[in-house]
Amino acid sequence: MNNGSIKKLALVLLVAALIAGMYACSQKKSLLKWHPVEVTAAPNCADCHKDDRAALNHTPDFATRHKFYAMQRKEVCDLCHVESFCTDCHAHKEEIKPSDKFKDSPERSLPHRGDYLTQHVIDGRINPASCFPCHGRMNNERCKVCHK
Amino acid sequence: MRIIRVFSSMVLAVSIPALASGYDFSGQSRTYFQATESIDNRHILPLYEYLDFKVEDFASIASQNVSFHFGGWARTDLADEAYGKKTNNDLQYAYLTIRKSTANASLDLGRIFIREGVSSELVDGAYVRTDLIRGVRIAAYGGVPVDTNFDGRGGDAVYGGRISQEYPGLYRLGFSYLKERNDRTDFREEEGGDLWFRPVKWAELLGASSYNALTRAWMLHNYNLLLGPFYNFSLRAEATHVSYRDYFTGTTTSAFTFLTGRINPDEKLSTGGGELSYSFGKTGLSAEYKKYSYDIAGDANYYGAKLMYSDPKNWGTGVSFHRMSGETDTLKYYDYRAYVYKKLGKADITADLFTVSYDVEISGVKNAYSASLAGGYYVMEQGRLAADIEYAHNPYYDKEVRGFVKFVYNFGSPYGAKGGK
Repeated sequence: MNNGSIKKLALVLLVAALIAGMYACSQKKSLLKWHPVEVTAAPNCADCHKDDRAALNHTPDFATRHKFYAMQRKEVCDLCHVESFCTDCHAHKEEIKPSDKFKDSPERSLPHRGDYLTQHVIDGRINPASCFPCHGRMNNERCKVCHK
Repeated sequence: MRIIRVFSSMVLAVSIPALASGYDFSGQSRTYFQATESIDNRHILPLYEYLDFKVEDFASIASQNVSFHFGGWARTDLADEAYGKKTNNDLQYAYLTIRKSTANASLDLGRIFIREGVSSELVDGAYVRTDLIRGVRIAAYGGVPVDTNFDGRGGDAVYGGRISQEYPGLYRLGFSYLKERNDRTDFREEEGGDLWFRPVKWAELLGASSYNALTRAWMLHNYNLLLGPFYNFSLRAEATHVSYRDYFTGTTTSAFTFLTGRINPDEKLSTGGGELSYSFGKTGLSAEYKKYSYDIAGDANYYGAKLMYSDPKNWGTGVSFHRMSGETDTLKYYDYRAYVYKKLGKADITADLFTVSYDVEISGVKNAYSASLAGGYYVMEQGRLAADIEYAHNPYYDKEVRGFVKFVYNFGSPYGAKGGK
């Protein structure tokens, strides 16, 4: 083992020991497994919570920014949502549009309502980056029918 | 049908010992039947079964536990082949979670959808995260990426993590990293920062930036500022910036490659806009505006308004209109939408109309529209049968009629024991 490898190993061990120590000192209770009070769709968290949890109000524009909360503390989402709630839209491989699965929930912000065959050309021109997170590497079997 | 047999075997294999040993078993079966016509006039009658369930210890709402989560679907077509295949299926997720009662420490093993900063990845592997002291949280994962119909999985790997620090109620700052290798060569390497900042209860800033370490440039910035409510008014402002050359790397479909010419690598897009909302009781009114600015293509503006009324246990309605005003013909149109739903005891009914009026005809069509009528009924406490029919006219279909029937059945304890999905 050369000097460089020894230094890297020492650094890894030091970081691991630091994390282990910080974990050992952290005795904060975990979040509950589920929200203790049943909430109905589109909850207004501020009805009960006056602190930062009020920021999670599911206002009509919540769908546009829910990704930020999920990328930071997804375990908070898990208090009320099961995993399949996410995969209804965020699919690895999917053949049914989310808006087709839930025609009886017109108030939900679901992608691809109406004639999306025509609209996808327009949206793809306007902002292809909005298509990419879902279809760039996954869920693009239908894209490949035309985009060979 | 093999996948259905596999699903059934898994349900039985997991549920019998689970029920016998005091573990809780809950889930949902969704059966969909769709009747439609492909663009080349073939009749498509796909029958889908979506199954998801979890097995976990419900001994205490706060205790540590071990749980197993599963989600997947299978389809067979009763007429012509849908999407080029008579049958299809997908394992959406299947993982074991070991959760500690302190520090939000968890370990997931299996097929996991990971959301950690720049990472939004489906991975066959392991995912661990925990809180540390002084508001520090760390997460790490590694495994094999699950991409669609890409080349073989040999030599593929993905790993990454996120470290964040927060002062509860005031701010949270995160830094994340992702590396994906395909056939033993670097496919993606991304770094990113994310932010949540709420200095006062009426202002919140949140967003994220991603950096492409392979091209050595920023891919994406996306930030939201929320203000309010002030006397029932609230404002959301949003700004994004995308560099196409750095963002559209690592794709598995030609739709996003530079070679086809659809995506110009030299293009840069900035958007800015906002939404002003006013709510009074169950009614909400909002006006929104978004400007799209390009380095190369012509700019565009999208603006409009929405009015909604929502009484979820009784009825609701909404109307909206928007104008897209761009420099090219296809970016000049109006869209309108109106919907209404009504609950009638165990039954419910929904009507939805969506229309787009193009300034310049597309394939000889000036006005495209789709109208749908849906109805549902709880045939039993845990099971709901619903159906809808949709009629559409658009540049691709002179007249399109589509039908959809679904049966949703919740089994085990009240679904998720969380009051639903």
